[in-house]
Amino acid sequence: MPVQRRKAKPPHSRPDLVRRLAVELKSKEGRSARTAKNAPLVIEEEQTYGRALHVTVIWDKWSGVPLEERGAIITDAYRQAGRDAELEIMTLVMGVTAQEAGNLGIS
Amino acid sequence: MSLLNRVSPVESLQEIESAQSDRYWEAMALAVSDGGHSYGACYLLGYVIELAIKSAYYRFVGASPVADVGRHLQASGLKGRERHDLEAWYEILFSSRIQRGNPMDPVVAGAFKQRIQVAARHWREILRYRRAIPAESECNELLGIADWLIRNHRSLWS
Repeated sequence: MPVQRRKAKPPHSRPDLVRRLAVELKSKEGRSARTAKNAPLVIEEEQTYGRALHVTVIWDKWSGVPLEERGAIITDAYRQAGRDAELEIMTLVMGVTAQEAGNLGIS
Repeated sequence: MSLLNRVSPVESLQEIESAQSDRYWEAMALAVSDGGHSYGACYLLGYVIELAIKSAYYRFVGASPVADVGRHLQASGLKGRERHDLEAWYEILFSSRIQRGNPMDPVVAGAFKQRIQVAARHWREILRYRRAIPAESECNELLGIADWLIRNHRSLWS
């Protein structure tokens, strides 16, 4: 019986977005304010139940990126930025464009 | 014998999941038919979405396939119109999984929440008393969300 070993399909194909977001997460400003035009806005909401964090990244670079891939890019960026403590307590991850955020009442 | 007498008196998980499948195909039939039945299609697709979240919740809390889900519905704490509120059902499922130490994958939870927020912008059960012509994009969004819930149903409750 022939056996083929293949690499698993990656959860996303945008390492460029991971790197860009990781840089923002590493910078102090990235945690509190948009550093430049078109920079992602990262909202970390501490939850009242237990130790839990909801992360929303508002960024127009998400346009055309499927929702699940956005989430995978965000978690990869946290890992790349060495933010493992936050990763461990994340219970919800969401990436939205500015327009989507407006439509959904996220600010 | 009337139609009401022929439907099951028990609202069970099995009935809900069968109804979800029936409503989906009825919505598809309306969506592709000539004569502008897209409002009916959107209306049914909203119910498909509601039923998909409810059945995921009932499966997660261990509802029997054939017994009435009444006690699980009571335990959800949802009352009146909240019982058709897509975002309320999402919150109940999401928080129940955390409370029971089996949270959803955070990426799935985010994608799920975003889709439900979009669906809730287009659909509430009050549509049955109203009329309008939905945009094709609105109907397509509801269809895409219903399809996603059907494809990913297991990850919502297991």
